Amino acid sequence: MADTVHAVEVHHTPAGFLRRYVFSMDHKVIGIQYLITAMVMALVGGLLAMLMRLQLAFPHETWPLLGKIFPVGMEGGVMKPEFYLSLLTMHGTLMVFFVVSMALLSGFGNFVIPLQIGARDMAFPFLNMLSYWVMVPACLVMLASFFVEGGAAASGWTAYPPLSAVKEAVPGSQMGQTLWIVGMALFIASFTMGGLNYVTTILNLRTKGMSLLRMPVTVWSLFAASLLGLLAFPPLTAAAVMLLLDRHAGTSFFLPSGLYFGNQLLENSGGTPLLWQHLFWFLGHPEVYVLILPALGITLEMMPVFTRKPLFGFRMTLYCLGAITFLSLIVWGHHMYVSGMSPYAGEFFAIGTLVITLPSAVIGMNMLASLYGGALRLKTPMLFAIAAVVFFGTGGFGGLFLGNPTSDIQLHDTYFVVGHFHLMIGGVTLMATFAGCYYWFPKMFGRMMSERLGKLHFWLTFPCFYGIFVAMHYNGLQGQPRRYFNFERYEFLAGVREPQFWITVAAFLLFIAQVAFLWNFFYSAWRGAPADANPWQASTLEWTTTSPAPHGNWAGEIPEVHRWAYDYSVPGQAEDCTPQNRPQSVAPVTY
Amino acid sequence: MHDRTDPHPPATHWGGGVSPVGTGWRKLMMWWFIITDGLLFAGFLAAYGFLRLAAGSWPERAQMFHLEFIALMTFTLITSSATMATAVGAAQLGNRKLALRFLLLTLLGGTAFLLMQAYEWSTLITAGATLTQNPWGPPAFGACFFLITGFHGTHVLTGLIILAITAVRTARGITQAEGIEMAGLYWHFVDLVWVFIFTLFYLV
Amino acid sequence: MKFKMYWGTWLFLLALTLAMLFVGGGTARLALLALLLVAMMVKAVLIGANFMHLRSEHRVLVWMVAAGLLFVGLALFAGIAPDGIRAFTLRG
Repeated sequence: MADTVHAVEVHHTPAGFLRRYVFSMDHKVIGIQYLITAMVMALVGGLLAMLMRLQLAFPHETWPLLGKIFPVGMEGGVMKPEFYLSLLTMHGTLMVFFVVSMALLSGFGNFVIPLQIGARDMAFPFLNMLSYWVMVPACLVMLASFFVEGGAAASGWTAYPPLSAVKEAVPGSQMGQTLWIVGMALFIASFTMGGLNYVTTILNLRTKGMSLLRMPVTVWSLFAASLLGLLAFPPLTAAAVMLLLDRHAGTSFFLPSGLYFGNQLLENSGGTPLLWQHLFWFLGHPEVYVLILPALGITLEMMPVFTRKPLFGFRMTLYCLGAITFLSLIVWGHHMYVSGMSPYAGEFFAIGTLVITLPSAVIGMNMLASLYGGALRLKTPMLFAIAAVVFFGTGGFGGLFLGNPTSDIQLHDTYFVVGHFHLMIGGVTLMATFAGCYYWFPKMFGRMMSERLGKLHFWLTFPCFYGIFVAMHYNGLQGQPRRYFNFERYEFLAGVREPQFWITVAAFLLFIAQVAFLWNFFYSAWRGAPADANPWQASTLEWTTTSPAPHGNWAGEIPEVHRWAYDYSVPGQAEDCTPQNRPQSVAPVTY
Repeated sequence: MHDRTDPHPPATHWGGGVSPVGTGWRKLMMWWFIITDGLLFAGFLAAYGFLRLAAGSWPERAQMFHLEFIALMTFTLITSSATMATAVGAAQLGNRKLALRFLLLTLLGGTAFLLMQAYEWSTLITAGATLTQNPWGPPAFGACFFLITGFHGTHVLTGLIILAITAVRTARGITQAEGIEMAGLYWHFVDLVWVFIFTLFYLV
Repeated sequence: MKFKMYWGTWLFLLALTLAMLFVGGGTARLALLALLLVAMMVKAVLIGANFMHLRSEHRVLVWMVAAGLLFVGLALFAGIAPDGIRAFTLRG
């Protein structure tokens, strides 16, 4: 009874612009809304990064024009240190939560899951719509924090107390920090609604024959990431509530006694920032897997399509996804080796971290093995997928040094860390996001994105991104600390000045290169070459419907699935791709 | 608002498949919501444990609480859980009248619990305990206690609202047994959380 | 009586609660503490199994709840709470 009545059986298109494109309950529209929102936020986050790079490369210049745009933070065209702190805080927050999470999990999660598992929509379309319309105020609140007294939050994306808990600490600790907490609360609410939908949809709404092992790896990775998100966000909510109380009710959850601010002794006693670090990283570490698992899934999804051979080690990849999901919940302490946490706990977390590299390495190897011996088609999505593999390898290598307490004590809070996590949760995820955009674009809009502009975008993005963050590893090894707004005073850092300059040049190039992508995306949606139902000759279910897919996803009945997702180059078959809905009697199943 | 006529008869149209968890998506979603909500309390309780150990000393429970009164509160909540379970069972048997009666009993129990909690809070506040102060020792106690029991109380209140809506809908005969079951799941969850709060705050 | 299980559970929960009240509330010794925590878990499992019908649910759902609530909840508690001792010693 319960399952036969859900709203997805309504598949006549809703009438009216508002119901169709704005307050839509169609998962595809919501997915595209999320993607475009993420692009806007990425532009803002990118601009913040450009301002930081400008300051780091030219600490003595004055920028009168910027002084006019930011009359408080850059008075007279000279950046104030506290403004720099706000920039890095908001860059991190926007990029982690409002760009990468949003694009991968909310954007592609919404768009791809029902299409790939053969459902007409999400389990609870109304909740899905609500989740987007809670995300919009979350974005607005975050952006609004730049315009309040004191400016945006300045305690880093990790919001460490006492900077985040004491209002007098820095200008950004005032209203900006409060808005940061409110924005995050809205984000978590929205994310939970989305996650509940993904999990139930994947488990309960699959089409006939779509057994769990026949689901494409993208769906599997989104499933694992949704579970992680659902499990890891609540403790952060708890921590955020306590932080709010510390700020506004005078409690001392995170504040020890003896704190001086402005020559005034605070009355707090009994708490410690160590508690915040624990609660924050209990979310923070799984969160990076929430980001990277879907990215790996999308990267793996590209492999068979553009090499025309089955995915290598499909089942082992799924086991590894499971192992990572499990282990990522118990390794949060490796962010806290120098926090004063018990060294015995550090040992436990170090072992866990080294164990988690094993399934990650297996997935990386499966990617490489999927490439080996394939008939490569170097279309734009594939180029970005290969870039994701490259970043995963390079970034993962740096992770080994940071996962070891002995080397981490030296490298902690240096640019080595910045370079490492940008390669992983910046590089792998953004490359996969681009790959996904180019790949599913025809299904979204019924048109192709321009290959020529796509390749231009790739050949500008990849080397710049790689150069910026590998150079940061080098600077970090020199001992350059993160979050400083000016390095001129430190003689031992004379060696990083030149790389600093070139990093800024590459960063600007990288930012400008994204214009090619944005132009390509929006122009092609309007004027691109029309796409047929299956432009990439792929086997998964979303390519069995028209491009763009109609409301309700399939005009007639939902196709029935007879095989796993990656039956490419089945021996004896004329075509090198056998769609999932082709019966076993027509073509043999290879797995 | 929705057109609920299924264009494909269920025999040919695959409406959801066999769930590997053996329930519909509604109940599955409710369970996952309970898991996330439970982890919220786990976060609070972990912080409480941390702060208590960090404080070194902790006030004697017997001098702050009237344990007999707390026992009465616990009794009320457990009983309301049992009446809720009975209401769900009655609804599943199709006995709407019995279900409604036990729903109302549950509402009564929940309200009584909230009132008793309000009384307990006011006693403590009169004695000088607040979010930032604790006349018996480390102020962390006051912060943890009011935060966690306050959050639990909010959940009880939410549960009461859900129960009231369910009761009205049951009286009108528009609630399915599944609706009562889901309200029940939430209510038992509230009771479940109290088991932990009761032990960790009042007894340990 | 059709709802014997529910009221049986109720009785059992009450008995456990009373027993816990009898031993708890004072300065707990370690053995007593362990006993209280075990009783707490027994009560939680009873509510989950009998009131929330987990005993008649599909085993995958049971595992999901057990892994989600018990494993993650315990990891959270066991990973964070004991570090309070460290905070206490560092403070001196």
